[in-house]
Amino acid sequence: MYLAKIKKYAQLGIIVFLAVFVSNFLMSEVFINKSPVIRKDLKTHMTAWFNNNMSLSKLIALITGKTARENEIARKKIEEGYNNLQKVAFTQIAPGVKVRASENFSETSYDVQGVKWIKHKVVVDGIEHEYGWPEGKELPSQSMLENMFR
Amino acid sequence: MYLGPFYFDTKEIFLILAAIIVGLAMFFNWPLIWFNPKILLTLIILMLLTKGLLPAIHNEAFFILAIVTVFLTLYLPFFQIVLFYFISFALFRLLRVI
Repeated sequence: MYLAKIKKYAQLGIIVFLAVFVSNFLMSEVFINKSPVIRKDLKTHMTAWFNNNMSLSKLIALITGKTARENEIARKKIEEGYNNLQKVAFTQIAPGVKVRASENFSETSYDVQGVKWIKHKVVVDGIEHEYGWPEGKELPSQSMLENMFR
Repeated sequence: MYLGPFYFDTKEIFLILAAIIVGLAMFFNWPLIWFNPKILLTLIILMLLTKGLLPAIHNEAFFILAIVTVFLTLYLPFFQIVLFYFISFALFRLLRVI
């Protein structure tokens, strides 16, 4: 009798566990198109819909077709940014930190991790140089930059 | 207990009671730690509907699923919770647990 109960509870547990994975798979592969951006936003969209701040058609559009296109555009942008970063010469000036020396540095460059790079200027030996640096990261010291551009 | 032509068993009455309490919490803005009363209320309504379709013999499976679903609302978006709930029911049926 106890064995039958244990078997039943084990069966229930396994099925519930399985259902979590199936729903997770559906969410990530079918509904959210694998995009971390949309994945993050989905809860916001669902909440907006739930609180009547968004129509059902808009929600469906966000979850299905339109988001797929938007995701594609976003992914392409990230890939483009990554390719541009690859083209530019990087010089390692500190462990784990890279300075880019490029005249074509865009004001709105993002790296593959989605970190914004901001354009800065430095004068070394009377010549002005531009370099990109991740937003929020402590700027390199003058001596590091002098070593870099000299 | 009979209400008009309908018969309610204890668990259904408790579910209705829970819906009333959560509804009151929403109405009077009582703070619920961890749980979102709107999500809870929607889940209770879903559970009442599905409970109505199940014979009383499957109460145990239903109870476990209900508890897991309520606690998953702490981690997962509501849409996924609803998916999980119906997938579990489908699996219960497919694997002949109910």
